[in-house]
Amino acid sequence: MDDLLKDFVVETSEHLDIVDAELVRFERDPNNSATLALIFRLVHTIKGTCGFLGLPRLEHLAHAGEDVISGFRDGKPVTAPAVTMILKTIDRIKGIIAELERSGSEPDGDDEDLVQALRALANEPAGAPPLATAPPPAVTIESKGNLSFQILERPLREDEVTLDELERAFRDAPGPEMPPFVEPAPVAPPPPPAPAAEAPKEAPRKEKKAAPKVEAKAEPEAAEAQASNENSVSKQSVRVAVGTLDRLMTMVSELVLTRNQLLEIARQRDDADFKSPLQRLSHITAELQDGVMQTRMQPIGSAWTKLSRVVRDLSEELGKKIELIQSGAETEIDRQLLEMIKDPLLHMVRNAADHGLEMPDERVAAGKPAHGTIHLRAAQESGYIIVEVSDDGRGIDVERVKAKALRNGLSTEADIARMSDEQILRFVMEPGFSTAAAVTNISGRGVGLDVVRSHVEQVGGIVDLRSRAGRGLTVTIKLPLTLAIASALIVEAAGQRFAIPQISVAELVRTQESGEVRIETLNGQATLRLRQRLLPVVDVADVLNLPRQGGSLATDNQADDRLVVVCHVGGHRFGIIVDSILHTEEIVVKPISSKLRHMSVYSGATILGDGSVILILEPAGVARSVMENGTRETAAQSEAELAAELMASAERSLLLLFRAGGTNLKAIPLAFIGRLEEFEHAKIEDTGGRAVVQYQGRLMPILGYQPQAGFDLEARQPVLVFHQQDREIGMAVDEIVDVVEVSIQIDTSHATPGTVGATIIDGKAVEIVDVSDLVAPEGQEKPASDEQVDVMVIESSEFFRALFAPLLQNAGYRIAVLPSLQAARLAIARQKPSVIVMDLDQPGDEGFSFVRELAEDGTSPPVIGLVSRAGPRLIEKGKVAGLYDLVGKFDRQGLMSSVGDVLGGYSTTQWGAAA
Amino acid sequence: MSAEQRMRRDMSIVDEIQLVSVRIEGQLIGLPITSVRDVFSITAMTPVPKADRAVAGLVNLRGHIVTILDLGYLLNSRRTERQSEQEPMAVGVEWQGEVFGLVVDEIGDVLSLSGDSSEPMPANMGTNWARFTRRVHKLERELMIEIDLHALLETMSLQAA
Repeated sequence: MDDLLKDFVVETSEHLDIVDAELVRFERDPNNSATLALIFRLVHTIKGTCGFLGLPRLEHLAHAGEDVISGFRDGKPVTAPAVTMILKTIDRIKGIIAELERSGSEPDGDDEDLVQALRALANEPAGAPPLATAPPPAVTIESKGNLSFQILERPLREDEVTLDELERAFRDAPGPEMPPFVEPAPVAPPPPPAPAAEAPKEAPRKEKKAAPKVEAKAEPEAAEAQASNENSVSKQSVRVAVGTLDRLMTMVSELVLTRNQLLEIARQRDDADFKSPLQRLSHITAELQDGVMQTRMQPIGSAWTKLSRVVRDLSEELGKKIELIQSGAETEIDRQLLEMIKDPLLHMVRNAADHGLEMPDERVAAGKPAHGTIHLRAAQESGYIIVEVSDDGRGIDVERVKAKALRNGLSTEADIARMSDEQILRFVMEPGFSTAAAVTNISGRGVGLDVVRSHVEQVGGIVDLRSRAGRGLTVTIKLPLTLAIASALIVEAAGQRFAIPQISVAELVRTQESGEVRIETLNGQATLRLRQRLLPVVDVADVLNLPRQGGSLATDNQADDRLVVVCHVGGHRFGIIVDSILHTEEIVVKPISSKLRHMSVYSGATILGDGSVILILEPAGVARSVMENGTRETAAQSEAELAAELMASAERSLLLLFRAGGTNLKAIPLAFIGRLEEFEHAKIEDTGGRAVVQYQGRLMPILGYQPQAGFDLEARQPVLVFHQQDREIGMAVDEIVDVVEVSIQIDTSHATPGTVGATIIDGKAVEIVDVSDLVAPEGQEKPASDEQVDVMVIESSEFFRALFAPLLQNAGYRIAVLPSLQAARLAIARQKPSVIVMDLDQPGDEGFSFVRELAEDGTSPPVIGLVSRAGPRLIEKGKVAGLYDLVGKFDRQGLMSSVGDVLGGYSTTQWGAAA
Repeated sequence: MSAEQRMRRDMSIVDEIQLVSVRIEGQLIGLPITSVRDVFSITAMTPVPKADRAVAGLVNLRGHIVTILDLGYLLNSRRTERQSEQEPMAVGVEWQGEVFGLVVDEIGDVLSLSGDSSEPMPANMGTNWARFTRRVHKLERELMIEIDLHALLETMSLQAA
């Protein structure tokens, strides 16, 4: 393809994009003559240029389209069908141009259908197009050239008007202030081939007011034109080939690297002479880097222009009224990145229009305005570009996502039950996942959001979903400012350094063997306990099969004092264990060799300041190696996790502080609470005196709910949700105050019905609420083990089980915890405990009769009884039954010393004597 | 000059080939000079954990990251034992727009050879050798194997994928 044609293709494509967007705007605001003038001028330019280059099909089409547009200018009503027709024409032109770009010539074909339709439109109400009957043009300098040109050209086709008329119509279009210098384009005479090649190139440039002489001549008009239409193509700019910019960028990247090397050398040698010029070099390099990066920046709005057209077409097709609001269109973003996110953006907008927004009647029924709104937002925030597409539609139905995830085998029921809505929503970004009930033309084939995610993650970005049921969905994309240079954390593992992109790093933590942050193994998998949450962790050295002194983490439990890089990628949080964290550095990401590209654990390589090459780890790739294991063992892990969670709740427990029925603070150990939810009062219903709410597709009873008469029904009721074996129970509270981590020192003497006692937190008395009725007895017992234990705890309340188990375990005893006497009876023979600690706070005499039973047996271990309040009568009763000791439930000291007594001094044979 | 003579002369020009001679585990190997970019000694190589074993590592060659391949491994399917006292040498070759370094034991002269002195590969060589060998040149003292770099590097990408 020759240069001329190439220029034409590039320019015309740009013009068409603008026409697209402008037409949509024009349809809404038909009185804006500036918009119309711009459209007319662009279409006209396209038509003119086609004439020169001998592209009859394009010319024909553009011409017919122009007629219709000129009809608008003459005051014909702007109708949706007319605009649709023109848009169709533009699409056809685009198709031809695409073919032209590919093959270098116009494809064969006939556009008579469109041309006929357009002509019918043009002729419709006002008869013949007004320009055809217009009087001869007013005399201008250009018209001379015009006439001679026309004589030289081929005879007119029947549907064509003379160029003069067109010129005049064109000149008239925006009124008298229309700059005349756009005219040479279609007018320049083409007889000798060489000048002809020159002319069209010149033409659009002139239009852009880039040629200084033209600008001088047309100064006032230019200013006016600019003022009248901000979107005018005219800008003080030079066209530079993208390849040139990319080369520049590469070179600057190299320069940055070299500078980093120099700085590294300077750091090692303390040479003052060297330092100050190096400082300057450093500054200049930084500025140069900024400057070159600037040249690659484009306002994100340039990717949005297409979207307004897309939304318009969709709203026609779907019969929905959709308004597209854009904000932050001027936010600048790296060209390359922009290209990469164009498709994802399109997907997201389509999704929003097709699935997100409801039909108008549905919307009205839901109390929303009939027209839906899609909001595009872009902003630069702390070194990242945030792009957001939100709609005010129905949002994503979490239940449907759940059902689908289960059906597709992406997760198990048990897993889903423990997931937050946010985590569940993420399933929609899995490949082949679509919640659309029906596959429509626009979307719903399950290739939507996973494409978005893979595109975005490919460029080191992050996708986030926020859905408010019935209120809409917001998809947020977080992108690095540029692809070429990234901030990275340089870490070391098994003696080798690696870079981890800063964008995916959430935090860095150091673990301690017995500290709050520590690494434990569950089922052979290392997990990190971080703020009461368990995260999967991987050792980089293990993932990469690097030999490490002292063995790997999985094989020995020396998990103390490790450095963990906590990463957050694609909704997964996980830790990467490294040996040391060196520093952060701006790195120039270099693509990895084609021989290594298949390795998902690396995203590239880079050269550090000291000249050494290091590999860039891809956290998502590293995670995959963990997550795969994770999904395979979820069932086993979830139970183990639950157990670990319960244990974690002792010693220092996380307590949720809240207020309910009074000003006093109340508390519940966080470990018992499944979820915190808020429900609108309007959603809470009354069935037979019980408050219930629809929750996860079922009715959930809410305890302690006071109907809020007179309150705003929009107000929300905070509810603590407790998971029982197969259902949830809600507990209404007035206010959730805080979550605190405290060591529980519960004073049971203040226990009242419904509470287990009180404790002091931050100098305030707090009631600990008894939730043993809410957290249902866990039916499943510990897998029967035949291991001998020191202490057997028989306790029906989960709360106390969680309290005692770690206490005894930390003291170094091997323990078994059993929920019921029946289970204990079976286990005692097998596990041969040296002492039994059992709950005697049970209705009836079952507990004491069990103690008697054991005492009579003679070979059984001593029993320490636990009671809420050890009154004299109870102590007496215990002694009679053959109890070794009776301890208050919150009397830690007492319990520990009593257990210590038994295991320290007495054997089972001595016990009988002691009793 | 008869047409036949001219043809023969042309052929011999075409056949005249310059080879960079290198040595791997004692075997003399020729690499076509047209694909050799440069020769460098390897310093500070970064290994790539878990990569194909033929990938020895990455080096910084004047600001470019070059992937170093173990030519000995590619040909013999086992890692070459090297004396550690000296820095290994590598031949930089370009393939599909990318530069690779091939580790060799020793780098010798550039030899101009014609097709006359060559023969196809004897059948008793190992499979890898047979696959990557274009032909065998009979030098005065010994035999030199001319390597088909394209076949070598392409096969490697297949292995990797």
